[in-house]
Amino acid sequence: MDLSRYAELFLTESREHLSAINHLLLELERTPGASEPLDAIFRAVHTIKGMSATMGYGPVAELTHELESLLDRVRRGESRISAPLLDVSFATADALESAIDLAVAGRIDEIEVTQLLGRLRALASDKPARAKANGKKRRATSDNGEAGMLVRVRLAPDTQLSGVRAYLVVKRAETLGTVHSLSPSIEALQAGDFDRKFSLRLNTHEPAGAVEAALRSVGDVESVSAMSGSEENQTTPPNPDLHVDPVGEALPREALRQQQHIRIELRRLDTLMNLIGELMITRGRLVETAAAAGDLAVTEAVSEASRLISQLQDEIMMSRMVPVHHVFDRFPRLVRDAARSLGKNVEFAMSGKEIELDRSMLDEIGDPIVHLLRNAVDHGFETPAEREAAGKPAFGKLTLSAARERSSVTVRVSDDGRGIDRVRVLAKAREQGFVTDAAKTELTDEELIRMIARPGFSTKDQVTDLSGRGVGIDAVYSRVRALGGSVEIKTAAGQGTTTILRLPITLAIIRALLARVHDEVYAIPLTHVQETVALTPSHLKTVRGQEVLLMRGDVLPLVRMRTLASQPVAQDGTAHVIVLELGERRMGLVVDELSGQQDIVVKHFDAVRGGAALFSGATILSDGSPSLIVDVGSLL
Amino acid sequence: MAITLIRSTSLDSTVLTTEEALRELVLFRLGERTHAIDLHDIREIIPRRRATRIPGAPRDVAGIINVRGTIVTVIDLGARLAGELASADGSVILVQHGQKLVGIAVDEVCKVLRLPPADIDPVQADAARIAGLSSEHGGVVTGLGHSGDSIVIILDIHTIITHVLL
Amino acid sequence: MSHSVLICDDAIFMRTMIGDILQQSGFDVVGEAETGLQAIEKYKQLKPDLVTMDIVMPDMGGIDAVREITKFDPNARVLMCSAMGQQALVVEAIQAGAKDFVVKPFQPSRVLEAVQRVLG
Repeated sequence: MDLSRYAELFLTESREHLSAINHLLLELERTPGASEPLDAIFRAVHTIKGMSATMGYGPVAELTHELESLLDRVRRGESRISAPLLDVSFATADALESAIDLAVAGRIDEIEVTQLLGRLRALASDKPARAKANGKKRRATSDNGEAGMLVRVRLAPDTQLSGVRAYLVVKRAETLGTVHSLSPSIEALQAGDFDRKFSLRLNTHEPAGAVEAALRSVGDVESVSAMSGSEENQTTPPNPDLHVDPVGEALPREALRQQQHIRIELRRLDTLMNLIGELMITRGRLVETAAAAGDLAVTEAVSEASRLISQLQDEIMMSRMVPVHHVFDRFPRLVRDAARSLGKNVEFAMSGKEIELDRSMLDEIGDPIVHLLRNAVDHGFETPAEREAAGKPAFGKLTLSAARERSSVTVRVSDDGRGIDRVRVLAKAREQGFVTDAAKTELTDEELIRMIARPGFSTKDQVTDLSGRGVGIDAVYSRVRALGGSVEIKTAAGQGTTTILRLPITLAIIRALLARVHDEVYAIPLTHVQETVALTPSHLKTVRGQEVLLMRGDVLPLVRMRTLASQPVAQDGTAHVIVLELGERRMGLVVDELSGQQDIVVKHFDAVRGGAALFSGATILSDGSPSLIVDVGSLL
Repeated sequence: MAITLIRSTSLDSTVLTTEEALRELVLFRLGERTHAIDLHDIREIIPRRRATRIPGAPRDVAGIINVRGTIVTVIDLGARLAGELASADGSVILVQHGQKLVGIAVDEVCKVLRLPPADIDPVQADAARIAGLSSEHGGVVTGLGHSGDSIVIILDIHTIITHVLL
Repeated sequence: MSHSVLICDDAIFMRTMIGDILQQSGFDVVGEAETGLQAIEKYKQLKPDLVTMDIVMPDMGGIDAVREITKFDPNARVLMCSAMGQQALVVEAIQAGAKDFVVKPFQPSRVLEAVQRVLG
């Protein structure tokens, strides 16, 4: 039987179970007395054991077997949940993860579990005798030497669970008459404590031949001999193995009726995505060409094709959506380990695990979130003593949540730790010469991040321990920006910090507003566009030499794209304002003309030294020329 | 239309020593001077096309172009080395730079030349001066090749790219 | 006419594998259950000729499920799917009414033998 086609299924399912095991172990650690997590872990371990044994992954099966035995002792009340027990369980979960990967990769020889097996066995070593069969006590097996048919049974050498098989034989015999003088005893048989041979006496009206046939039909029986009275005889010759040939190869394989999911290679999904991207660009060209041709029939056909392409695009996008729990599920464990090693008390909660993201994005957000969580545990939370002194609850609260907002997903990491004192950071920054602008009263999020990320920057007075706080934060910042998202930090000294990541749902295709500026076209992601208006003089005002935008009483900063793009200042012509928003901040971006909305395929371009960090990527317009995508995060 | 380089391009007949020892170079012109880069770094040569400008980028970055769906950054080698923009009617040499594909704009691609090592002078202290380059570009000249009467300036294109791209 | 089978196991992996083995031999897999409760419900609804039953499943284990199924239909034919080391549990399952058992890792020939025996 070719097992390789089950490997992928095995991998996926084992990983799910491992993830569950990690969660449940955490739960067990919190509430050691609870039986539900224990039972659930036991089931998950057991399932992996069964699957890995079937796949022939010996070391994986061995590890799970030992862990299962250990857990079973706890279930039976022979062991207690202890720190060493949890530690070895966690270690086993980790080892299983890598062992499974290696096994599936065909590198089973590289799996090293000896030491861990030793630890598992050592913990289970003060083991009392094996639990008795937990069925009801059997009735007494024998009365004194009453005559009956002597039945001798020998099981096949490769019999599995020979005790159970023997029990089945006995049960079958009981349907034929009364069984007594069972040897060895039923308890020994059930426990498998015999050498494949056993005998019994049977008071029955059936002829010997019928008894033999009936017992043989139980399966795994190598030989049966039934003799009336006290007559003794040699055993009958061994029964030729009743081997039923698997007819698998000969029969056509029916499709699994129950199956509602199929597995697709990732590469194929990516190829589909690329193709739909190219198709969208071609569609743009087609629409323009058709419009220029002015043939009604052609235009209709093109618009129909265009509609279908959009639907196709939606479907392909949908097929790539994956819930974030695929990434989130490893975090509780990570937070636990970090908190333990740093001596912090942290209570971690997650929400929005069902929110879906394109898998291209999913692959990318893990690292930034890990940075944020580690940072929070390491630098965000006070020590238990400090928390107590500050009158805060003993356990720091760390939450990770995901939420859908229009065409973006928001990921929030929030702690109730020290927070960052912006005023103090600004004062320090000024003192150390990083900020020279005397008029500045507050640092923006970006400035704050840049500031605390500076290697030489520290506020030595102990009010806010920032050392290291920035490490990773700037990495997060640049990573998220590169993904077309934005980072926002809300923080208050003594109350905690919330970091908000806003991410597009996909990396590959976004909806954008195309804007002409002089002879160039720029793309602006629609996620950040609040509205657009034709610019009139009444919108403009100059405050302290700076142009600002007046929008229904609000005053917004104003930037001209021509200035950003170092193009000649516009002569009188018309202009439009695009109101951009990011979190709570807004600004106006002036462009010459709006050229409509379009789904654009986001492409990477190689950044150049000295080039403005204004663009997050590029796309290809319907005429085949590249256009730059404005990074709204960098403007705001 | 793209001109794909084929290794069997008819060659200048040069004295052949051993097959392996020959260095295959693509010769191109920048102004009056002839430069060369290694053939094996080159994926394709295409006619110069209008690039999309990257605001704020230095003068030696011509911008980005679309090469069959891939966005390629084009470096103007004329501006980079000689201070004068390469011809708008010239060529773009597509160079494989690690995972990246980078365009190098030059005035004209001349030919493929195979040179035995004996005809290549290793780089000397005054290589940059001989090549007519300011000293800051000294490190990008890896040797001077002799082809008949003329001197070919062999460039380390990867170092040049690293100077321009992030 | 081919025999109908209900497969009960919490692992898709196992269900797929058992399903493949049985279907290749002409059985008709009419349903799958992931938990003991589902197994009972589906048994009542589908009345299959054969049930393959995992022992360890969430919400209700296989043994209790066998008990309930046998209560509903004393002639139910249930084949237990066990792992090494579950001797005692299998015995209990048989006491609860299971007809036979197979041991993971599955060998198709053994599964088919057991199935034949159970179907008699």
